[in-house]
Amino acid sequence: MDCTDARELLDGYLDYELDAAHAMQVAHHFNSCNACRAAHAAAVRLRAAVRDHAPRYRAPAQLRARIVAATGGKTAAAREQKWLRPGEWLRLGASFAFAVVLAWSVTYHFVKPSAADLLADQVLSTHVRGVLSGRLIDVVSSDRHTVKPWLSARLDFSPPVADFAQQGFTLSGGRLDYLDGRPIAVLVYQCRNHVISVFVWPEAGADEAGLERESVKGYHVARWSAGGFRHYVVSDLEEEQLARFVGLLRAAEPAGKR
Amino acid sequence: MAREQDENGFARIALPHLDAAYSLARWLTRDEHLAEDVVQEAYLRAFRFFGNFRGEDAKAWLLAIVRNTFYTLHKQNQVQRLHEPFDDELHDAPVEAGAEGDDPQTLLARFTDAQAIRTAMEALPDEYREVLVLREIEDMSYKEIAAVAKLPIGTVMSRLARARKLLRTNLQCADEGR
Repeated sequence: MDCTDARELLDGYLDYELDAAHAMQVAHHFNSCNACRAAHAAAVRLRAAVRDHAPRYRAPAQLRARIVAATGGKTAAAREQKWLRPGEWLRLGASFAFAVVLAWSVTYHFVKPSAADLLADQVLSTHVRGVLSGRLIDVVSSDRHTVKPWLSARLDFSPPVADFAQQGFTLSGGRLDYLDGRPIAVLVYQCRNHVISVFVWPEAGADEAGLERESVKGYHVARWSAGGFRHYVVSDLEEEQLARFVGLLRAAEPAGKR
Repeated sequence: MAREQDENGFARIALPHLDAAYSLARWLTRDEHLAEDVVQEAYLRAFRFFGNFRGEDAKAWLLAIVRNTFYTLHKQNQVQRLHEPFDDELHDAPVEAGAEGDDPQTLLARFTDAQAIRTAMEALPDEYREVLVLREIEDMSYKEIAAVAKLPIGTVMSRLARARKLLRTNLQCADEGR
């Protein structure tokens, strides 16, 4: 780049309006040319003088008032009006879109079936499938001293087994099933013509979880954790009766006892 | 409703740039009363044309109207001055050697003299003064200046270069004339 080119681009350089390639060439030329470097320094001084000392006039208040009056008659109130500028519509739109996404995420988070809910569905399906297929009981016995050892021998845990025949819930037997990636014990009780399935499996490090109940398609599901076991109880028994059964079951299994 | 919306929208769009509009008008007219007239007329025009405003650069849009208004009123009020189309080629003659470089001490002194700078700027032809004001006082980019003055960007740069050389000359002349 020669002096003619550099002088031609000097103002663009001064105003940061050159592309990077040209700016580098000009800077390079200034490094090697004293005259052009001096011209640039002089231009910088002149610009500083103008920027420092040439006034930016302020509109007189009465001019502002006249314009406000002539173009709408609203002063401060006009600036506080509720309508939005185009840019603000854009921002509002962006905010709205963000809110929609957020709401969807939050809703999904809460509506999304939890692991426990998914498990409840599996338990219910297993119960219904067992009832429909008639393959409900592997070991038919109303004697818990038969059922418990039978299950213990085939599982890596010994499930609590109780009998509530006196209270109207007769132990029918037990079976093995497979749920949530592990073999589990299912105890089957009978109350009149209703079948009650009690799903039990040990839950490593399980906290004591309070009773939760829900009703799905005419079935009632109750679940809780106690004594290191997770329990799901499913039946089409009426809710009060099932609640009574659950109360008996929970009372029979002291917390912490395996 | 739509009318009220326009009015409110106009106030929000246009009023923040009132100082810039007045300052440009003041530099163009070199007179505070003429500047007020130009700005008031320009804002009324802008208000009428507000329906055409499409949310682009509001400042450039308003300053372009101020500039147009100035040239319209300028021609009307100063018929004695023949306003010929500005010829960049003619005005962009090569600057004499030695116009730039090491500034004499007397010129450096003028650089801190606000009155001298203002006088030297006001002595510039309108076409140079406006680009210089938009660049140095309003700090607009070449692209924004091009939008206000309806010029190609290349012309903005050459006019700015010429404006600065003339301003330097004016400052030196003021110095010598003292």
